[in-house]
Amino acid sequence: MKRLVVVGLLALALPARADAPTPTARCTLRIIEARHDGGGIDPQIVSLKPFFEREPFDDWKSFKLLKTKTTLLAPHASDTEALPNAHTATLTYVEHLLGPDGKHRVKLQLEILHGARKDLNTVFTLDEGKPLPVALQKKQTAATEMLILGISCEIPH
Amino acid sequence: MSVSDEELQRYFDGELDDATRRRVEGALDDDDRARLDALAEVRAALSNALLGEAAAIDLTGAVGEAIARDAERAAPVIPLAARRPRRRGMVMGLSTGAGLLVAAAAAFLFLFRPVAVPGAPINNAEIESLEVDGLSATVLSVDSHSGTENATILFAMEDD
Repeated sequence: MKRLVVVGLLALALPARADAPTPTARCTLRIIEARHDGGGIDPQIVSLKPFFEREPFDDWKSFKLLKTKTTLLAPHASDTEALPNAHTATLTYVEHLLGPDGKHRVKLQLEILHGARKDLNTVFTLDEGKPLPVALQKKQTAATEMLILGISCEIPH
Repeated sequence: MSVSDEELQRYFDGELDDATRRRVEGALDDDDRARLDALAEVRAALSNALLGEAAAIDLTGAVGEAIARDAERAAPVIPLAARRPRRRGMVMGLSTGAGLLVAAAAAFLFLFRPVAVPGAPINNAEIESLEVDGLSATVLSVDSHSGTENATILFAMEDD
């Protein structure tokens, strides 16, 4: 089996499922190219700036937004986008959750395929409106650029 | 594979005695060297600060339980309980699949204890499951200054 599966629990308290029917989610995929040469952070990706100013991203000096795609997703619906590195990214809206403090959260699945091979398959939950940076690096060298996916979803209130 | 995962990791960490180190060096094959390269690349991508703050962590139990719950649909994994965190406090899962190694696609996952960093970004993300093929993946989670929220990123390194 050519796969490694690792499951991590990063929090013990999981939010409860919302009682109301699962609403649609407005999900945004930002495709960003990071480079080692200068250029700064694209002002269009200000929501990700706090991440990019810190390790491990601070090794890269230029963050350019290549594409933004926003899609309304019904529960369990997916959207696929071709990436500049010849991979495809499929984002699935799994479910809507409400935290104990009333915070809206979304559970998503991200699959990255390279041809027939599924390079990455992850399920994660995060606060609505907050981005999860997913960095895809080809090689750790001084000259190599890096692709970063910024994934976020909002729940219409 | 001529060198065990444990030996390779300890060789990478510089934990072997001279005799064992020489034996391992003599037994390294291309797969082993590819795995060492992957280890070095992942280590290079991480901050010394995070590595320092992550000392003395032991997530083995929680990760092991999660894997057990997911066992019905998950691909085979090495039980993490057998891989106690070493000095830097990392928990590592390493596939034994020969194909993965031949493809120089050794994959590693490191879970770090959240650390307090003033002004850290927030997303309160929880990675519930992660499967990779042909790349290395790292999950980094850092607490906010208040300690009540966190910022998580997923860092994946492709092979050549």
